[in-house]
Amino acid sequence: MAENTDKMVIDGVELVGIWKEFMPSRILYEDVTTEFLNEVKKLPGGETIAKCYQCGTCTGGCTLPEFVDKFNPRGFINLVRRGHYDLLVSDYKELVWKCVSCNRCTHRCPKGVNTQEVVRAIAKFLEDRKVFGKLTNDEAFDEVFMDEVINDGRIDEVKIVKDFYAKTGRLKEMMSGDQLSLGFKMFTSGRIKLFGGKIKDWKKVSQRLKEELQ
Amino acid sequence: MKLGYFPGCSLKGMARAYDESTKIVAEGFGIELMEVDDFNCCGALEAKGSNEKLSYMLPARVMDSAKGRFHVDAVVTPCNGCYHSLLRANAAMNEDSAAKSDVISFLKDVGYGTYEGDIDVRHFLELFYNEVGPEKVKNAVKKSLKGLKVASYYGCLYERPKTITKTGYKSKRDDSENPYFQDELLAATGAEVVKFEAAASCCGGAHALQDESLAATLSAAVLSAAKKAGADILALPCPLCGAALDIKQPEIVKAHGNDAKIPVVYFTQLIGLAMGKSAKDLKLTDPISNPMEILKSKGLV
Ligand code: SF4
Ligand code: SF4
Repeated sequence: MAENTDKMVIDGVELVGIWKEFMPSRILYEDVTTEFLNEVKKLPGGETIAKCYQCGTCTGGCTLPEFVDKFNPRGFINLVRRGHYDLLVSDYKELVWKCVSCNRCTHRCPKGVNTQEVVRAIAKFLEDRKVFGKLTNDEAFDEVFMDEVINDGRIDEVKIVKDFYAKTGRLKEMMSGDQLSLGFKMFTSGRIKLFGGKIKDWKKVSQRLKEELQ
Repeated sequence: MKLGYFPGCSLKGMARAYDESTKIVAEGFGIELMEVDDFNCCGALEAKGSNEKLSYMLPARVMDSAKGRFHVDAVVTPCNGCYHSLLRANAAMNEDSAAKSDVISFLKDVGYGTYEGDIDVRHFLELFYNEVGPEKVKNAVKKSLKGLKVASYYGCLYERPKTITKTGYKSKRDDSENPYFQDELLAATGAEVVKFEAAASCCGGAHALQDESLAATLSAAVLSAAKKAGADILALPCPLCGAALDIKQPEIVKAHGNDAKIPVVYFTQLIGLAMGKSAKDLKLTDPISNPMEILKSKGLV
């Protein structure tokens, strides 16, 4: 601990010691850059990030800290707002995407931050900057899901699982023991039916949605 | 009140037991549901992480179809995920004028163009509680579920976030921190609803494929809390939680042991059973977690 020579005397009583040391300043103003904050704000769901006043209610009620060490939505927001990009990447990139979308944070946030969507936007911000070095499972799933919705109009559970495993290079695993016997059981009981994409005029809707994405 | 019924993709696939038991229960209590059978996927959690406008357009098309075809006052869905998507689009239509005009022009291009954020979205559990209620359920019981201990599980998006469920601003919504509608309905069947602290915890289902081991850990926590509370069976109002807690249960038990082994059913299946409907019609043989065994041993099927 650095030596603290500050003196503080009130009414003749000396209060000194190391009083300043257990309250280190949390914000180093010269460090702050809003570059990353502005980027996250522009992503889907990131709009409300700047409203956060760092109370920590979200983290206090979050599902994950009990199961995932250092998972901390307030902290993720803080790092983005202070522009601590390197720290976000080095220590937190594998955590941010673990959010399970339970929405306890958004529900309780006293400032109206859409915390769950902000956390998703921060993960997307990292994905867009390619810090993972590969397609994440989240990206892979979102892609196959959205492709299927836009093309067929509905989700076929078997197809989505198959496409997801294919995209993440794990098709073999899907065709192995447990998964296959479960699939067989569901198929013979009639719970698995293949949806043939029969929504009337879906082609037109699909076309319009694709235009929206361009 | 005219009601459009939006089952969502899951109920037309693996969760068909929820679809069929919902219809049986609704019919039995005189709730007329007009099924929006040309529905599309609501976009779930994936659309909102991918493209903001699309995440409003997909649910809006469902609402537009219900309103344009059937002139409904509200759309009801039994799925927590669909409920979230529809409410979220509804909120955006009412709070964000740019989003509203984008959506309306989309609907004019591809649909009826009648929906303007002006019809209500309801969860079947909430609707059933408010329009029918525990008293009427009690009076309609043909076969009491006495002796069956039930853990009543709600999952996440049924009661939160309040920014879109408008809990506290809209009458008739369940308590968002301590939901109780399903507890009271199940108690009305004669079943014993156990005190269960994970009732509104997250099952991790949203990441069931993307992050399997964490999702299994969260599911195991819910299932074992139910078992620890002394429940024979767990009842729920969401097909996504159903997939996570039932279909995935063999894998969960493999990783976390028999503490996580407990039969899982939809709440509508139990209400249907108390109404005297058959296990076959209610598709009680569908769940992988095998509720038939315990129901048989209690003399209920
Ligand atoms: S609860 Fe809201 S204001 Fe408080 S730290 Fe979390 S996001 Fe920020
Ligand atoms: S939505 Fe994500 S960040 Fe928010 S409370 Fe749930 S797990 Fe935590």
